[in-house]
Amino acid sequence: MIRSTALAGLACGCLALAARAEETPIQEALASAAKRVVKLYGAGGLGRAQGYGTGILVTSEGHVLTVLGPLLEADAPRAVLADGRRLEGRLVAVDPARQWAVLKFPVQTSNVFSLEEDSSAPVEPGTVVFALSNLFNIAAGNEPVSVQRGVVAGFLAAAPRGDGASPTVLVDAVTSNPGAAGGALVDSAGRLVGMLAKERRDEASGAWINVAYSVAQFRGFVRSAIAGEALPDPRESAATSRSRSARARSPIDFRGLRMLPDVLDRTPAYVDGVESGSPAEAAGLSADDLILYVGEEMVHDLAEFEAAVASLPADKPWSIVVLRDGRLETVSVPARSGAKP
Amino acid sequence: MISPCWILASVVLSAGLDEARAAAFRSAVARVSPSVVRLDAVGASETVAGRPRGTGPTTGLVVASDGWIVSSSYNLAGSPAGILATLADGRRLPALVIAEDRSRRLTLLKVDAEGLAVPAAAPSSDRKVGQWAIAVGRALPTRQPTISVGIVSALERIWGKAVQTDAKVSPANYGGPLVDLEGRVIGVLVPLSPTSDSLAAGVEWYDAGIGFAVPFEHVAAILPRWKKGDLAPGLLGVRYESNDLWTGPVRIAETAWRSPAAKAGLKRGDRLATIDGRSIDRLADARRALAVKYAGDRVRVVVERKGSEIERELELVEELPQYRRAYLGIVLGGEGKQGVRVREVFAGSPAAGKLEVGDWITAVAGRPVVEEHAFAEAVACFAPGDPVELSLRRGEKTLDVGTTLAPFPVEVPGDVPARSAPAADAPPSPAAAALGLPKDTVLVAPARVGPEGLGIVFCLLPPGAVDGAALRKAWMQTCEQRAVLLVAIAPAGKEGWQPGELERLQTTWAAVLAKAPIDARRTAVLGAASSAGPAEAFLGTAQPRPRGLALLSAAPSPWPAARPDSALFALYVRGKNDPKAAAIASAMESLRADGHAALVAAIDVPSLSDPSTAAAIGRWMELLAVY
Repeated sequence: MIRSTALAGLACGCLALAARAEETPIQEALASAAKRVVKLYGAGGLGRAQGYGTGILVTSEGHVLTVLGPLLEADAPRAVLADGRRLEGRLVAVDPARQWAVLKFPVQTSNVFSLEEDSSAPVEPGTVVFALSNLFNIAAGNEPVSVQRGVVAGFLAAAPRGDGASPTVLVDAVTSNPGAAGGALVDSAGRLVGMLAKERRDEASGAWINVAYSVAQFRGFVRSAIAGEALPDPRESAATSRSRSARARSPIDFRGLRMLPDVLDRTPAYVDGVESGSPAEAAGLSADDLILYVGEEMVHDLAEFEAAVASLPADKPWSIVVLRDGRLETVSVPARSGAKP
Repeated sequence: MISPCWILASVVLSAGLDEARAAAFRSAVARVSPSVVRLDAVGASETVAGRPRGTGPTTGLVVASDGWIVSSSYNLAGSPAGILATLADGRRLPALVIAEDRSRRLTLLKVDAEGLAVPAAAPSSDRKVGQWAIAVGRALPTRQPTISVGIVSALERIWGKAVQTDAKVSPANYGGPLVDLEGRVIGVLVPLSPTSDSLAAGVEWYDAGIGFAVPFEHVAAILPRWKKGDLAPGLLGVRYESNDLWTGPVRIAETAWRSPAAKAGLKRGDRLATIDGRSIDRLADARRALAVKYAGDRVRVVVERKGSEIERELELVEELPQYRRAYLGIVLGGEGKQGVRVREVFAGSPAAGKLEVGDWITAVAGRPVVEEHAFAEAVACFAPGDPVELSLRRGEKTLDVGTTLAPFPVEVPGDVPARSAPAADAPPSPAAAALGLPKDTVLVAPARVGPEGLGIVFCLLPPGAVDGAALRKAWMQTCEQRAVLLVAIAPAGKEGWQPGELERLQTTWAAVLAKAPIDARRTAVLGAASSAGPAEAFLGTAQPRPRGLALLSAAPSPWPAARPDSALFALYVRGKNDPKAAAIASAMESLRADGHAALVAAIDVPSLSDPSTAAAIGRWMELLAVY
């Protein structure tokens, strides 16, 4: 009892000491991080309204990383540095798929975030982080950007059919705000953890989530942008995404599966029946099976089922998980005979 | 187990309190995460009761090792075709919804599994405002559970049902645990609102730093009962004199029909003193004492009545029954020291063969009744189908008779016993001039007034072509036979009744009621065709309100659900081959469902100046005084 009390006292004492000791480093770290964040302005979008945003300085020659937005449509986007200097810059490179952009402003500065692996911050869930951004354009004139505190909530896995371009760092601070995208996410030592992404909804729940791109995601893009390497043509990229969606809508061979008609807002993926002699019948599927998984992908309704089926190769068997009489059954639907790869 | 030494060492070595904290957060989450599951509802409707429901995956928390999982109801509403649970170890199992907790917005599910990790509950004695609180969810596509760190913002929120936190609570972690630094579960995260009970209430606060968790200790304690079925908020069934939460004392204005409060004998004017020993100084205290209770819970209520305290134990219910008028089949005439006198017994009624004209009823189910209003109150406690015991004095004998009450008739009987004529020396009916009626008003009155007074039919005539002589001729016999006064008023203009005329009608109504010897039981307003709407409007505004509404050629509108003292008697006089018959039948049925007595009388060709229409209305007027 006495021993534990003493230990608790010791712990408190040390924590208090540590708390006093840490005040200065965090404030200093945030003050220097704020100098590496710029406020961006420009006219663009509908009616060419004045837009505002945030960017982060990534080279001493004035390269600024940000997200693609209407304000970049301006002939000369403007940046306001932490010391109040106002500069006109130009667009250097964009990654239309990931919605990233690098701008160049005429300035020499030592206030730069390092993207190197040994100087960017390793993070885990629970790590305390700070978001620095021009959210809601609150920071007027030469005022520094706003700082929010939170923790890393987790890391988003890549979407099953995604292009790997989604932001991966989830934070529990509400960073999803107008003007915040392109801001910096730093740890308590002021090291860059990531760049705040645009306002984003979780598709499944419809809730706004607060996400950032990790440094590892955009490191390569920034390097090639600075080096002036060729970047993918935006038009080509758009064509690719068009053809991808066209494929998703192409007619589907259900292999003898007849599904319940799509009559509800979210019709369950119920099997209505199977054609006799079909691959579906051979696999053992039967009426009233509720399809839950196609391969590794969960399907919540008929539309998702059709999309999942559309993305499967024609020449390989499918694995399907169904709910039948309160039990999960896994069946393998064979490839269509004579299908060409 | 993280020892204080470990934290110390970590602090000293890394010189970073944030990192030590992050490690402590992770350690807390690591302890609970084996109990945190992901739930996917498949094929559920996207709206519930017209409002969008939560969609997408949600989080669940193991509450018993043999497969019991608790979650927030928000994402599981909409009757999903199937629910799939993904356990922390990756196993996928179908989950069945077993029961809801509609008070705390939780859903209990079951998967077929054994040996699941049950998290420790943080004891309520350890809960303090300001302590660290970590919200854990498994709804977003992350490999590990998502976490949000905050503190406990308040204890006993949502009328004592939930802990409040400033950790970010959203669809990402609804249904998941709020844990303390030791990984013990403080509560289950749910969207809640102190001012609304709807399913989506509180969702608007997601990620706003206002989040709620239902204490896990409570969930664990209620589990054995919850497994047997839904839990619902418990109702006492009282209306208070004031809805102001902050002022006292708390007095009962009314107890709902056959509610726990009414059955326990709580009465209008009683002051609530304590509920389960908690002192009730203002309405908020009562709300707090009751909000944590479920239907089926017993509560001990102490009320103060006329200086003395009365203690009652009563069982809260999920739903208060809608009043339905029961039918015994008697008319009373006369009060005495010992009871009330039976004047008529209706043929074919529950009273027929049991009660006789001239019987004195002294008690209803053991409750003495010496005045008609006491008898009315006593009978109103019963529903159709209830057995009832009446104590009688018949001549020199006393006896008890039992009968079973019936639903109130839906058709006006063709033969309603006639009244005996008033004595020759009974006072004459008042003349139109004495009542101060406007010139063009048609008044039909019996010659003399009997001891029970006169019923009144206040008729709003449709515009045009009203023949006073024909009206008199049609109504004379009925008014005489049924002791009824007909007051028929025409609208001022040819276009019919205007809203501005309601005031004039009210003045006339009040004057007649004040000056004529009116039988307060038998007051009605009558409308036909285009005057039906005005008659209903008058019914809604008249003071005192007529007890009956009779209509010709127009369906009655819905009327607010009835209490015993506000129930309406509605009559529709139906003609042969009435094209409105089906619409009327359903309108009358919905009135009955709302506790009103709704009757139909069939006539060949209903008309205000038709003697058989008048006779049918006269028979119905007798039913207004029937129990």
